[in-house]
Order: sequence, then structure tokens, then C-alpha cells
Amino acid sequence: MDLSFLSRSAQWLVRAAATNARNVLCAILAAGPIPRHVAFVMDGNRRYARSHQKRVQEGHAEGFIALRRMLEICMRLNVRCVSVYAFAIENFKRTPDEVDALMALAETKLLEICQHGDLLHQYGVRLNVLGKTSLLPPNVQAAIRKAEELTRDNDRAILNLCMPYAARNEMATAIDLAIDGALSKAAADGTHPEITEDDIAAELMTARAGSPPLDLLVRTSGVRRLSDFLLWQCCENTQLQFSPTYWPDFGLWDFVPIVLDYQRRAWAAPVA
Amino acid sequence: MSWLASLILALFHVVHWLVTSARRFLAIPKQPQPLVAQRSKLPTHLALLLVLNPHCDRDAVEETLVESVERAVTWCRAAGINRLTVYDREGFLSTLSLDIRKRLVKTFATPSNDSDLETELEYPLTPPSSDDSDSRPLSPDSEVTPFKLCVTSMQIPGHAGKARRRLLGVKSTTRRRRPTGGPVSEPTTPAPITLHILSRKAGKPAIAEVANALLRRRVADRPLRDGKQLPVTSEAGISSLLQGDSGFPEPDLMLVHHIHPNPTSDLLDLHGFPPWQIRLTEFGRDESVEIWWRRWRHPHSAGKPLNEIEFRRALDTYAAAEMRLGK
Repeated sequence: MDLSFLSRSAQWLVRAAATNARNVLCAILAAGPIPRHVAFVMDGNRRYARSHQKRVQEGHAEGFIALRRMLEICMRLNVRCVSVYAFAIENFKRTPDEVDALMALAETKLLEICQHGDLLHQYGVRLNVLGKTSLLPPNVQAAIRKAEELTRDNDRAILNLCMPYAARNEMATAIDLAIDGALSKAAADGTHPEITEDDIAAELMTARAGSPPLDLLVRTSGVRRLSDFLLWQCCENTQLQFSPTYWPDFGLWDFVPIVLDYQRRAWAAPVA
Repeated sequence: MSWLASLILALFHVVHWLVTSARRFLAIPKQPQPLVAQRSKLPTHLALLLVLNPHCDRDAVEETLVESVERAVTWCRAAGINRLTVYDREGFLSTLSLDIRKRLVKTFATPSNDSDLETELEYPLTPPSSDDSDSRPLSPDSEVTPFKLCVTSMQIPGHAGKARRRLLGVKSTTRRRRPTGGPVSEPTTPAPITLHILSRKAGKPAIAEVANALLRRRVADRPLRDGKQLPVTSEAGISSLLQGDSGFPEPDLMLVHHIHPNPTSDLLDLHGFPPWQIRLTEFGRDESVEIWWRRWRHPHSAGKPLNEIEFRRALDTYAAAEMRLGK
């Protein structure tokens, strides 16, 4: 009895110390320039599961834990906006078992993190689900609506969960909206408005959700491609980083060098 | 307390710098495979992004730029890549397109028929008559009003001057397997290479041009439709405009080369490269060791042209990449 109490106390102390150390480290990093908007391509869940002899579904579940971990670190660093690539439109090509498991995971976890007292409320994060949500099953769509509603009044930070997302789809939608805008402007004042690149940029899903410009994009598991993620947003003045770590293993120690590189670049850039 | 945090942060940066520098020096650089090595896969379309110091002396870098393009064309040909896109943000390359064309004619034309040089280069898409990049007005449907995509394209025919190739260190002319399509030529004659020259204007501004063309089409269509639902722009429709004859297709591999290396050259930035076409592009890795200590030397000089090690390393990265296409 005494022994188990002692070991539990020791565990609690170790955990508290680790949390404090993390918070101190984040506070130190936050003394330098911090990206306003960070995007993650959460790649490597399946390879992680395979390398640990686990089921694919478990890999995805651990990927969600990594998302919570990274989100908390970003909030501690005062990152204003985090975008994550949760599901690509192309991912519907995967086996029905895996797609179903991912949808079930999305449905439960979405509502979980939006509850009062949980992560998003703790840091005042507003959740936006970006992408062609009409492709999702109705129960997931309902969960999305509810989750977005639960965090609507949060205004300190933004989490963009991209699912099912594709950048070309986003750009095509933005072009459509810009054309509609120009047509209604033309109808209102009889002019012939020209669409500029800024008009299109303003209609992108991330911009409509209030996100600042993308400063840093991180893809895990060593793949060096964008795979149709935030193409418009990241092709200019965005630092692209490819980390060899699988997403479920990705943590503060992988992220610190990336932030230090970001700061090195921010300091080296000529003052505009 | 904030000064303490800044102090510790500065210490972190020193440690980080020491660790990365030590790693760079201690790692024995792996020699990339030769240009003509049998790789498991080969890009059909390579993009070369040239990064210049915005304050550089324009005249001084001209030769370096043209030289880089010429080298890239030569190595592409040797490796069996038949499409090359070259990009620089400011559009220096576009203004140099005539010089590039002349140089490529000189290099790749057969020495015996000098008089026919002009016919050696075909310009199926864009007559490079003007100084700046130019694109033929395009019209997939007759309804789309002309617009500019700012892509200069040229085709370089399939036989190379042997002397020049030897000079550039290319030994074998044997063609190897090609991953996809393309005209099959005889093993000893290289296939023609298509060269696209782009600047930032071929990116986001070109997408805005497409949006304007679609807008004009809708305005023209409106009286015919009387209140019916207007068609929604499709992704495939935009792709066919941006990647059609006047545009350029998706590169398989991108190589970023810094003409003026600086301490942050190792960090990847796309410098406004056209976003639509980089959906599945693989990014080559920059592992050059010598970048950081050269920064004090001649920041405004002519810079360094592309080197073969970088080129071969990028091909190796591509060969090692796993493509899953969402699955």
C-alpha cells in the first residue's frame, strides 16, 4: 500500500517535472521569432504501426496523441494558427477498413478535444474543418458541425483540420468564389472588374477561416513532397521542413531544431 | 526574466549551430551515382529553381544563369530526362531566353550544318520574339479570350555536338529506360528536350489570368443561359489551361540551386514557384557542405553555376523516393 502510493507519487512528480521542463523550454524558444502559422503533414502512422508490430488503426490513434502533443507545444510557443493534413481526398482510395477506422477516430476525437476543459478550450483555440466535407459520412459531418460550434467563440488561436482536403480543390473553389465575387460586383456597379492573385488568395479556405500567412510547413516520415497540401500558401516565403521521424514519434525534440532554423532564417532575412 | 530567456535562446542557437556544423563536417559525403547510372526510377520532367541574391549585379550573374541552364540541359540529356523547367523569381531567365536559345543552338547543333542552325530549334508554342516571356494566346474552347501564362517554351533537337559533351564530362550517349511514355528514339540518338523558362509571373499571376479568362467566358455565356445555374469551374478545366500547350506540366523532381549561397541556403523555400504544378513534385535535398563559410566572399559576384554533384544527388533522391499517391 505504502509502496504503491510512493511509486505513484514518484510518477506524478516525474510527469510534473517533465511538463514544467517542456513549458520552460517553450518559453525560452518564444523569446525569439515564432512562426504565426505552422502546418503539419502528419505522415508515417502506418509505417510506425508496422515497425512496432501494431495494427494500422493503433498507428492512427497514436498519431492523434501526437497531434495533441504538438498542438499543446505550438500553443505554448504562441503560434497563432496550426493547420494539419488529417485526410486527403485521395485517401478515400485506401481500404474501406482503414477509411472507416479513420472516420470513427475523427468522429470521437473531434468531440473529445472540443469539450469544455479540454485542450482547445484551455488554450482558446477555434477549430475549423477545411476541405470538401460533403464527401464525409453524415455522422462525421454532424460531429464536425458540433465541434466547430463548441469552439466558435475561442479567439486566441486557430486549428485548421484539413479533411478531406486537396490544395487543387481548394484553389479551384477559390477561383470560383473570386469569379462569383467579380460577377456580383459587375452586376452592382456595371464595371468590368479584374481578378487579381490577392482576390484568389482571400478566397482560400485557410484565409476564409482567418489564418495568417503560412510561415512553416513540416512533413514527417522523410517524404519530400507536398502531396497536394496548401500549395498556394506554401510556395512563397514559407520554410519547408522534412523530418525523418514518423508522426506518432514526433515531439518537442524534433520540433526544437526546426524552430531554431526558423529563427535563424528570420534573423538572416533582410529587414523589409 | 526576458533577458534570461533571450540569453538561453542564444546559447541554444550556438549549440544547434555547433551540432549541425559538426555533423556536416564529420559525415563522409556519400558520392552520388554517376549521371548515366541505372537508377530504379528517373523523373521525366525536372524543375530547376535558381535562387539569386535580389541585390546582385544583373550583368555579373547573366553568364552564370545561362551556364547553369546549359549544364542542366546537357545533364538531362545524358541522364535521359526529356523535359526541363527552369525558374527564377525575378524573371532574369525569361529576359535571357534569346541568349539561352543561342547558346543551346551552338552547343547542341551538329557542327557540320551551321547554316541550318535556325531550323534546329523548333518553337512549337512560343516564338521568342519579344524580350520578356511570351505565350501564345490559347483557346481550348473558342470562348476563352486570349491570356498570357508567361511560360517560354522551346524544343532542343536530339543530336548533340560530341566535343562539347565530352567537355562537360558526359561520356556515354546510351539511353536508358524511360519510366513513362515519350517518343522512343534510337538508343544512340537522344530524344529532343523541351525547355520551359518561367518566372514568378507563371505562378499565382497566371492562375489569376486563368480566373479572368473564365470570368470573361461566364460574362459572355450569361445572356445565353437566362438565369440557369452557371457551370462550376472544374479542377480538370483549370489544369488543362495551366498545363496545356502554353503552360507547363507538373515536374516530377525539383532541384533548388543557390547562385549566391548564404547561411540559410540549406532551408527550403519555393520563392514563388507556380503552386498548381507542384502537387506531387519531389524536392531534392541540398547537402552541400561548403555553403556557410563562403558567405564572406564576394556576395555580389557572378555566383556559382549548377554543379553536377547536386544534379546527380537530386536524381538519387528521386530514385529512392516512395510514391503512394494517397493509398
